[in-house]
Amino acid sequence: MNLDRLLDHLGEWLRGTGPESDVVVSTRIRLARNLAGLPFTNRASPHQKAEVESRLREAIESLDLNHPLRYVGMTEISTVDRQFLVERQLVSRELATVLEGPRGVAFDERESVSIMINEEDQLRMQSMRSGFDLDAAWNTIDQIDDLVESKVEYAFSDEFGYLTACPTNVGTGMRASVMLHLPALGLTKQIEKAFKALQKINLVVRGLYGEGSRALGDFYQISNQITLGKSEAAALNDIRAVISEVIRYERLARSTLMREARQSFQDKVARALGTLQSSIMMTSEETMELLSAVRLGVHLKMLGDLSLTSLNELFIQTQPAHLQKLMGVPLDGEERNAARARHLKHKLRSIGAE
Amino acid sequence: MSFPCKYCGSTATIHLTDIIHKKKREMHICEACAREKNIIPDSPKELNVQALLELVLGAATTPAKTEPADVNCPDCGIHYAHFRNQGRLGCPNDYVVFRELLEPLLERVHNDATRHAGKVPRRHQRRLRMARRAELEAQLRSAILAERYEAAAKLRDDIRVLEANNHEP
Repeated sequence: MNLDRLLDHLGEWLRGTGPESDVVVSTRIRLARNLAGLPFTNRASPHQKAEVESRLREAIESLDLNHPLRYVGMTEISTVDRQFLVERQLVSRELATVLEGPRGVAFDERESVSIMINEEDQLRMQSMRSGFDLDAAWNTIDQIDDLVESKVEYAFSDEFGYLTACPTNVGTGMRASVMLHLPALGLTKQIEKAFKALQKINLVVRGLYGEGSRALGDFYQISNQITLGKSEAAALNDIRAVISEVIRYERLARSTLMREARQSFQDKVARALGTLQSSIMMTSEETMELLSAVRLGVHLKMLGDLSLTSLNELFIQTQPAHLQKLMGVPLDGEERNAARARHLKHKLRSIGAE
Repeated sequence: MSFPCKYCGSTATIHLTDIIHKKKREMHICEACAREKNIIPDSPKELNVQALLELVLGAATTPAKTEPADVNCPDCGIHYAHFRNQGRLGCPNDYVVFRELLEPLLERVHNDATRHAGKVPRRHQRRLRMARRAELEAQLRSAILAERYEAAAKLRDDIRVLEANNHEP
């Protein structure tokens, strides 16, 4: 499959719309499932993995959905394309670079549903929504789960629920993650305090690209830890309550910032934009930090012309694999930094940011 | 040489040997007790591997608590020690085989919970409903035999409710 056509679009999670989108970037819910009577991926032979892939691929591609899912095998695409799918959050880093053998992902054209095959679990199905929308994300993935289950038999026990390769996922197999942009809590040094409270109630905080990744550019993912002994609805309610609190804190911190340090904050935003517009070399980390400040400026209506959508485009297009696909050639680190700076300069000029 | 049955003391005809942590353990059971414990079924020729495993692993709990590393799954071959190193189980059956070893771990990870409380696949819903129905019917029968008619009436209503749900799409 040619993935280039995705380049011009923003995936569902970066649309910049949806409820509470001034603080919440996106909501995603994933379900982990395995087939009955077969070993989990880490214990499966290449032959068994191929069998799982073909059975699940057939089941998924024949689902009766408004937006059908198309399958991309990891072994059929280049390293850059795999990285490209990671950056778009359609596949995990593990599926792209660590795991071996027959494996892949099916997703729809809106990039709102992605189903990985032969990840740590044979099925990792996720639904994405921009903004804070747990109900919509749950309804979609719940329905897809029912449809898949009508075609294949899941490994399930009355006692332990859906059986998963890692016991931390057993039960519902559900992980709901909400991605938040919390620059004001970061600036006012309240973020640690907020997250300590989360850990006490069994929620986990991670960086932008999941487990082990750094919280770049004030982006954080908050997700539930517990999957056993609690229904999906109860787990979602817990998350909902906590996220609503975090949103309130962030908004409070933003208005404090505007009230008490308006000028120095405006200076910070203007300098961030200036650096993005005038640099010769730019790393993706620095881009992310600067875009975070600009993003907050947009939310606080300091930058009239700039939209969240254009910022999201810059955010995704300056990631390493996206950049290389845009330029049409493989680039090493230094070349990427130069190309990134050029791209930012050009784009910001054409958007007309002052 | 003959051994007494572990359960009733009569002459054992079934001898089980397993080796856990380099210690050989033997178990001797008579045929009647083996049937009662569901290790050998009444007619089919196959052994009930599940019951056998439960028996062996259940009996092995004491040594297993100190050295569980050598317990392994007959389906995927994974050893408990391997799981502890990798953090990943090998197949769905591991939840049965390593059950007693996994429970304390599950409690730790999932805030003391050891039982699923969420969604149930459709095909399991049917099975669970049928099991529930059989259970209610047995209770109804014994209620009628014991002439507890009030209880019987309630059980009959419960069965009707279950039936009605059964016809839902």
